[in-house]
Amino acid sequence: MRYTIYLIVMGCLLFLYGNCAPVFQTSQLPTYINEQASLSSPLSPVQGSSASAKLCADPAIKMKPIYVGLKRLSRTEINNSINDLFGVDYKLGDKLPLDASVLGFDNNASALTVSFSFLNIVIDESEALLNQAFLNASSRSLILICQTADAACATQVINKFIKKAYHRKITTADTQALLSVYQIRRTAGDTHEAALKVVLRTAISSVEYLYFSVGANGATSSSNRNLSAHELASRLSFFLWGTIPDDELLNLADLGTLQNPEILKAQTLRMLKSSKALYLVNGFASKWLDLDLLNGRTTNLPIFPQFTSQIRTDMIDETKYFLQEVILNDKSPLDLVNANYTFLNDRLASFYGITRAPNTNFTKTDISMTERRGLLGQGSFLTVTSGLSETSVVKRGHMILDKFICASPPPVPDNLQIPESFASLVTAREHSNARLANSSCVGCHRMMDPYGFILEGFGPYGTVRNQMPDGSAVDNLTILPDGRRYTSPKELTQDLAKDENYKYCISKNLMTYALGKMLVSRDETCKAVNVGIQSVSSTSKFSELIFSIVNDVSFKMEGSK
Amino acid sequence: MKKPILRRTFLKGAGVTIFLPFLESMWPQIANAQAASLKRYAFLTFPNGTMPGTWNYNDVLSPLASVQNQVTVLNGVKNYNGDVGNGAHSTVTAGILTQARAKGVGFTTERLDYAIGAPQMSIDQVIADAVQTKGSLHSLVLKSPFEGGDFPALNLSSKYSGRISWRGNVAVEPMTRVKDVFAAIYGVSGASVDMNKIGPKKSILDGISASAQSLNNKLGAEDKIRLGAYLESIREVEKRLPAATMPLPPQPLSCPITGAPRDVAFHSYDLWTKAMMDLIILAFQCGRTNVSTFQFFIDGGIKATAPLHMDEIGLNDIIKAGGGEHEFSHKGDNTYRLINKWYVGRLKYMIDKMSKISDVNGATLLDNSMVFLGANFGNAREHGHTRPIGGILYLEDIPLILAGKGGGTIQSNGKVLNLAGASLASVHLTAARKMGANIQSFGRVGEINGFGQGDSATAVTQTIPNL
Repeated sequence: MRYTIYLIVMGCLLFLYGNCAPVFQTSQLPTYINEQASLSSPLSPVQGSSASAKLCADPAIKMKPIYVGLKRLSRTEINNSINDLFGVDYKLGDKLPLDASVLGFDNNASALTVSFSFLNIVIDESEALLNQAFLNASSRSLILICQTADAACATQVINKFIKKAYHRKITTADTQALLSVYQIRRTAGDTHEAALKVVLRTAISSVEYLYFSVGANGATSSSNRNLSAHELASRLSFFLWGTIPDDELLNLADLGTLQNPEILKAQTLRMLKSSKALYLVNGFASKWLDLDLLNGRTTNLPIFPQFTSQIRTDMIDETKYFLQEVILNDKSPLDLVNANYTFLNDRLASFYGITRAPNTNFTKTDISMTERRGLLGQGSFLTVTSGLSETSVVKRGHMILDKFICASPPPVPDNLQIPESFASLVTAREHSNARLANSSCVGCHRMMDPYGFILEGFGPYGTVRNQMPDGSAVDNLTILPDGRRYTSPKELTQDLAKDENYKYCISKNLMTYALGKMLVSRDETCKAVNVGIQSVSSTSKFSELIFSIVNDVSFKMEGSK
Repeated sequence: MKKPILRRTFLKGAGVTIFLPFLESMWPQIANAQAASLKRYAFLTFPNGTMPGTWNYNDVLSPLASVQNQVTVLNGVKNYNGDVGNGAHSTVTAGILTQARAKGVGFTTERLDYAIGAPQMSIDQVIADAVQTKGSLHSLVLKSPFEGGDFPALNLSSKYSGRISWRGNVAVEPMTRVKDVFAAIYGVSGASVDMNKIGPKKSILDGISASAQSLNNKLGAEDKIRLGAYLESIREVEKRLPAATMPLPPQPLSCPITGAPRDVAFHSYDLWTKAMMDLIILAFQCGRTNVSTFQFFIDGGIKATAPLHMDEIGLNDIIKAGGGEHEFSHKGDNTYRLINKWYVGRLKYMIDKMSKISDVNGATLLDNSMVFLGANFGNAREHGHTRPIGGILYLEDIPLILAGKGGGTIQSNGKVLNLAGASLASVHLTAARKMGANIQSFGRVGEINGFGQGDSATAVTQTIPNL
């Protein structure tokens, strides 16, 4: 009971906004979108409309690169690349201070800062890493490629290592700099191996390893420039694999052919087929959908004991298998919201009440006979957006707007005032009506609440329900501000799949992740508008969306700032 | 940049003798006059404020009930330097010890800029400048290893809500690992760090410094700022390379000998905060520093950084389901009071320990110290203010308490002072002067942006009587 009250109040607190703009544009998008965007640019596009498509088609905008700038590797990127560089599973990243996340992603270039603690930990902990690597026979042979205890051998070791560790073409100056560290250590009395350890620790503490895109061969970042082949290889590799390029990519970079669109496309497809591309599901999709939040959800509550920790894990797995299918088995990006299939094992199928051929493993399951479609019909989404004992139309509506339409309302204003009269309201509809009648709530809730109501037929743990907890009928009537009316989730997801805003939104999220940069200004958001138009449709494949991003000016070039 | 090389050349030479005992003349000593007035100040801050009416012994302060005679509750104090709205966390936190309103100057810009007036030093740094004992650490600046609470749209970097000690535009980089603090206090040998690790570390710093410097010349303005944080970090690491051995405690202080390598991982927030506080106390006791700040947790922390101590007060499941500590502050109910109480319990821990340690002049360490515990907002739910009927914003009083007698300069005898609208800048000014900092004014009292009167460049000169 305490939880119920708490969750209702919490829902209101989180999402009752005081000063949202109360008026909507005819394009159905609330004006706050433009207000937010106008912080950076007064000319941000009106998403999805033909006007914005026309505006963004302007060649001057299309050809304009974006500034991303120096980007420090995230903790996970450090974990992955250390593994690739040394062949040991040493989670250096896990020892570092937690990264701030922006829009859910932890690879944002402007949020990834370096502090005393960060650098100090890299330098200190790399000692244990090197000790481990030199003890392990296979990683030792990977690094120590020559046997003489002299500078000539050190040079070979250095060159092999930094070719992979630095995210650009290496120069003789790079080698010389590390070689002088080697010589200083030898002079100080270190053995050949001890000196090499210090050299490699220096390399992974350096700006060349810790930051991506540090300028190729003296290029400056004070003017627009093409990424070098090596930088492009790195950006592509961090995007799809969350780690440094493999030998094949590096060889193409050495040959200087990677920028050739045919080769770039072939490489993109090759990389998506690699098992390393699973990282895209974990690094991008799980974060995009806040899947981590489900991990902490309480199980076995008296109110719903069927939600066990096994079911919780199953729900996460369902979504991961589904994302893997769409992203890596190359289905249409529209499937994310409108697929009539999902992945179930026996346990989860019976939890949902779905009949299928028995299998204790997860198998692709046809759900066309149910109301469930895409991510919105999955237990993970439905549970993460609910309270512990009841659904929240506000959270669900907010998540749909935020993740699939990119029309997220602004954060809770700090001067939030909840009318006392709200406390006596009972049903979700009563609460919603009260918010819609309140001038300081209606601005945001007019959009959020309807999107949430359409999923009321699914309880707080994603099971189908025919009546509300108090015995009343399920009230899932949804009328959007522009008059569109839905009485079933299928109708909404079908429309969502046709919505230009969705095409824009999935492109924008993926580009934000690919670049490690929020797309804010008109010119930046236009990139996502263009990519969405070009590559998201019912017949297009996910790899087309990915390649459309990889082949965009924003990915292949670096703007100045 | 020739100077550091020269210094290192010197250090290389010094390396051979570094295991020999220091000459006695190198030991720091506190002059008799200084010893007589040796005072320490620890600033502890917690995030997101408290609810009005809860800062009393029947409620949030109940953990302190048994030590009332060691503290003074300061009611009625206002934190005038913050923004209403989503910049509140950043501005109020960055300003809690500077008492000057921060202004966003770019999401990636980590330097603090000010809405009006000259860059301001935080009060802990002002005091540390005045009272640093020869041979000791200037100040000990600590925080949790979280970053976040940033508001990119408002051009406010996460540093604003994650740093409280500032020297003008630049944050004093806090330490987040117990073992770093330990080595800073005890030196390499005391912390059982192998001195052989220091030489390689210096070589690494030299190596990365050279390549970063040469890159710096090629960068555009924005990238220069990002690289600047890296370069600054190199300097910070260099600066804090531990000494070979801890200088002996300045006489007449004594210092407990502690041998084994000490680290407490960040698994239990309870144990970790206690370990950090133990080190503050040790540093005071051993005369290794006289001023410390400890920000328990970043302000406005988002769900990804739900603090671990929720586990320890049985709230973790709720936190994970519903969001972070910050979201609870907006609720401002009994659950949030539990969180506040947990922080107040930290002060109790410090009071208990410090009151059992003998210090100069036959007094306890607590008697010779001031311990500040406070937060930025006086109304957690509304983040600072209330808006009574009529729509006028009202700035609420912040939660504030001082423990210890500051070497006999404050009473701390269980009083509850009502300071009726006094500025936090006045409190800082008063305490700094009692600590021995010869300053006539501190901070600025503008009205909070949004409260109608705009900022004022006028420094605060009024002190608090009867503290």
